[in-house]
Amino acid sequence: MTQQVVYLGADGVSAWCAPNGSSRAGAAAATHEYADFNAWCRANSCCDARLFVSGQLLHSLVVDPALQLFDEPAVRAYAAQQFSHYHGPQARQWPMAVWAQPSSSGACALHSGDLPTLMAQAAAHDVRVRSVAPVWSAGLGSVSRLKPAFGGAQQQALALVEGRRVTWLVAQAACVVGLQQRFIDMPRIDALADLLHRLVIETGPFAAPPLLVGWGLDDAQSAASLPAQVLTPLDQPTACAEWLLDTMGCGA
Amino acid sequence: MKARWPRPEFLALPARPPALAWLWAATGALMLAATLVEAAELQQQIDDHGSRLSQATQQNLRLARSAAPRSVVPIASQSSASSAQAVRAAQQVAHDLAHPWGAILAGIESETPAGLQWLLLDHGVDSPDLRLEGLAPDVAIVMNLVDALSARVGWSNVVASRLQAPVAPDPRESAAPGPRWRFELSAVVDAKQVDAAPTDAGR
Repeated sequence: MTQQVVYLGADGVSAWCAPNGSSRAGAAAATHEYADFNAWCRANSCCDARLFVSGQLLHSLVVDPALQLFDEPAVRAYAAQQFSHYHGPQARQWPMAVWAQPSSSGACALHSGDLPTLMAQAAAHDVRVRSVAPVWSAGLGSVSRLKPAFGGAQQQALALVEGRRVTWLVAQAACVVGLQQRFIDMPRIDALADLLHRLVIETGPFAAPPLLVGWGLDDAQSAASLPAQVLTPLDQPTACAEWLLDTMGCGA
Repeated sequence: MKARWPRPEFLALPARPPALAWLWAATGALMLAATLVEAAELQQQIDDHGSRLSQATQQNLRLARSAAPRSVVPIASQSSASSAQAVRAAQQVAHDLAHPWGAILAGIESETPAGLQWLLLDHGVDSPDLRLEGLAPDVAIVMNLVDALSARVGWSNVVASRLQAPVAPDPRESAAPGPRWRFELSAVVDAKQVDAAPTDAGR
């Protein structure tokens, strides 16, 4: 039984075969593109799947540690109230993914996309969906192995670029202590560089430059000029397989 | 140390069991422990009973072995008793055969006149009494027979104890000799004297 990793973007779906133990450090997995999730289900019936939702479909928040909300039901209730306050009553119907760690907690809301419909489409093709998670959580483990300072005692930031959408994640001791979503005017290096400068000023200082993972930029020739440690080519049209498969730095 | 990053999940997958599940698990564990303890006690009881049964079986075997010779004794005595009884029976048979049946019967036969028919001889080894029944054509023949037997050695007290009137012969028997008397003789026979008397000198 194969397991597929599926990236649900705003404009389409990318999918990969999940690596097993023997192929984890092997060659890069082939990327398969589909118009939508139903098309992927038709082409991959009778399999297990883990879905990662693009930041373009999400709203996120991190709970202020001063509120002492470190259990998931309390975080869920607080997040529903906050999303409803800022996005209207319809936000109470959005599916949410919450996390609660000893010193931090937060939530993501799926504002676009119909999760029950996705599940019905999967069931119709005998696809067993094992997980639906925000894309920013996909590669944290392998990145922290690749860059041990990330997730260490010192705060460090990671920027996940999905075209014009940038997810800014600040981590400390493997806890997500900051999570913001920003837009850049154009999917270009210079616009991204300006955003990173502002984010570092707003959320820093950091002991090390932020890590940079992404795809979908129009240019990447001057990526070396970015104030960041660029881990993936940023001008790839499709999502980064290493990030989605959590195999960052495994030789792909 | 391996970092444990958050894993936000949109699906309704319980990240950890609810408190009630822990309560159920604890209750189940307690019941399991109690069951195991009870099972251990029952096993101990079973072992005790098994050991008692084994001891009782061994004791029964010892008793059976020790009782076996005693049980043989009555069988042997019974066997010897049967043998003695058989011996006594054989001795009785030999004693009975030693009675001078031949001499007695030969004496009666030798004194039986023509036309006399014997019906019964009643005599035993335990008693000297002898009884004869027969049919005779006339009374004189019966009286002569009494005299003849009385004259024989070892015969005494020979008397005609009963005489019955002649009965009509069966007409279907063409060879019938005519009406005959039914009579009965009784006598006392001394077996030793009869046995000792020579056959031809019986009278």
